[in-house]
Amino acid sequence: MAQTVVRKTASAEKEQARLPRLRLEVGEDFGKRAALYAAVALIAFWSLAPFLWLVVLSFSEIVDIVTKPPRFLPIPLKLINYQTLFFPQSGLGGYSKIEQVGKMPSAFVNSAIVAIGVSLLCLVIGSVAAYAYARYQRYFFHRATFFGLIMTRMIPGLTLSIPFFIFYKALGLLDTKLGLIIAYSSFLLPLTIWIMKGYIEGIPISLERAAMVDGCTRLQSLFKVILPVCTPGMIAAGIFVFMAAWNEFYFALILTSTQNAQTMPVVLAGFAVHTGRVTELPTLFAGSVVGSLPPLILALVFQRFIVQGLLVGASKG
Amino acid sequence: MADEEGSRPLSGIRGKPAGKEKWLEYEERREALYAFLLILPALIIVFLVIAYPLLYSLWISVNNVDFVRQRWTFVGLKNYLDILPKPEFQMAGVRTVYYTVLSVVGSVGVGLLMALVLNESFKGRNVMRSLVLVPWATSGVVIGIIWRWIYDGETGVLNGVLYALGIIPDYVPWMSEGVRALTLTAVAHIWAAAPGSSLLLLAGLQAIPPSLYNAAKIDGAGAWQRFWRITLPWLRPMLLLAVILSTIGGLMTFDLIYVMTRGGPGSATTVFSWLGYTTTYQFFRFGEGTAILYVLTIACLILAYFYGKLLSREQMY
Repeated sequence: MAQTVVRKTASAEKEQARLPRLRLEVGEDFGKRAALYAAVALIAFWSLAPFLWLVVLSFSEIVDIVTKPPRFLPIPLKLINYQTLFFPQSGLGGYSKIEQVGKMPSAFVNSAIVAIGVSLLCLVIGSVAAYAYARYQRYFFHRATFFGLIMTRMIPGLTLSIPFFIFYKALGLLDTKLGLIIAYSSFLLPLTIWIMKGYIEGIPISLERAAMVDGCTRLQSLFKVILPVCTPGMIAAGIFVFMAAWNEFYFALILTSTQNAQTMPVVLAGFAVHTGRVTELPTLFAGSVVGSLPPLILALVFQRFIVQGLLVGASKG
Repeated sequence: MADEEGSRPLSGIRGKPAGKEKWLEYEERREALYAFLLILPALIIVFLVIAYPLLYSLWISVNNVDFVRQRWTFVGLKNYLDILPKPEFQMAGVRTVYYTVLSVVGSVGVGLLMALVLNESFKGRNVMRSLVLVPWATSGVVIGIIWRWIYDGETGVLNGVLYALGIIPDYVPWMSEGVRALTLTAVAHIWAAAPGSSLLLLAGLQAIPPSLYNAAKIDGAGAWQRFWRITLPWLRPMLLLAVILSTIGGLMTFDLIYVMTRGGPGSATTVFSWLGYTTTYQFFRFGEGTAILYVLTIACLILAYFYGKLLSREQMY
């Protein structure tokens, strides 16, 4: 509409009409920038404030928390909660009666073993499968099973947990880290394959051919040529899998029962639910911070890689 | 280079020239076997560990199961017919729908706002893109802990801030009233789920050719018009995807309920997943519990159907 109006006007008139409009645009632009930065500030506050408050709480003593209103900046920072966490028996930190505090170190180790184990398993099996899915799409079987794999992401874990419990009990896998690794791999493999397939499709097929002309077998060309080129994709997939495995709660809750395999979320949730006395709270907050650090650091450091895999894995689930 | 040969099997290059046709046929079969073997480990893990339990839990839901005495009695649809008329089941359904609608609208809305802002150019955009990932990288359990003690009636920072600002005369027990507790839990859920949606939508925004906006600007379309006429139509598939995934996230919510409310006060936040969990693992009514969870599963499978249709229409895998 505006275009036709402009076309019809004589050029002199056009010049005149343009001047005030330009000035208006500068004003508009300033308003727009201000609105944009306000929105940025709002988003930053919304995304960070709740977590930062947890960090503040973890450096507070109970007195700082129960004061009305609470001390928003407990300076100097109190390290006593972290001390209780890492040395539960030390007299300095004050002996904690909640058994969950004592479980925290082993839970951290369990989480690490499970998350790393799942990541490795998924990367090895998933990359090989992703390669086959990327290169052999002419087979109907491959197209069909790939679609099936993607669809498994939509099946709620809640429903699967009961059969898992029954099978694991029969197989003696209850309360073992291996059991958790198998369970997590089953629903994180499709994600790995999806991310890796997209990545491998971007690699020219001539690379493998050249390798095979040079005398590589098919497997050699896969492991020595293709996969090394895929490192960024593997990092992206590895982070997604690690984070999902580290943070998973429902299966860990149902399939584990002792320090042998309980992961961070289970121990923290147990703490949160069973804590009776307010005095134990700061330790819980410190534990929550420590338990969040590994996935958080990975996500922030490798943000670039995550964005690569984002189309597929944007929703954890 | 060999690149132009496109769909020809890789092995053709190593093929012997003599008896070419027969050789190719043999090679092709070897090739298919090889392609099949590569995906076999992944298929075994995923389908054995997911498909079988899925069918198994369907089987449980049509049986009366007594685990102590190891007695299974086939009862057909009795479990379903038993739970459907129960008011606790129907109320849980109403709450699940309320919670899900709230969290979908909220997380896709907030996610869209985040994506629109993060798609603009401003100083520190990359840092912001990392920072919005904080809730996404935090485990559901820790998110529950954070928000439970934000809302807390005695030590909560929400009370603290409002009290310090003089907005409320005294601390309010936010989570003691039914609908409010459910709504506030949904707010925590929105905080957790918005980054996932925003990543998807950001990817969608980046796929819109900038020339469209330039053309629209020349034609005199305002920002509002550009948003409705270009951004939204182009974003539609991604929006749908975000809505489907966040609907599943809302239906399946468990971690937050477990840590924040445990279904209470009374049964005010007892959604399907919590009802299914308590029926199964606290009251050991496996048949009924599985039936409740299977109702959820069916809802998810319906959503999965649309998800699959959307993905194949948009060629997103």
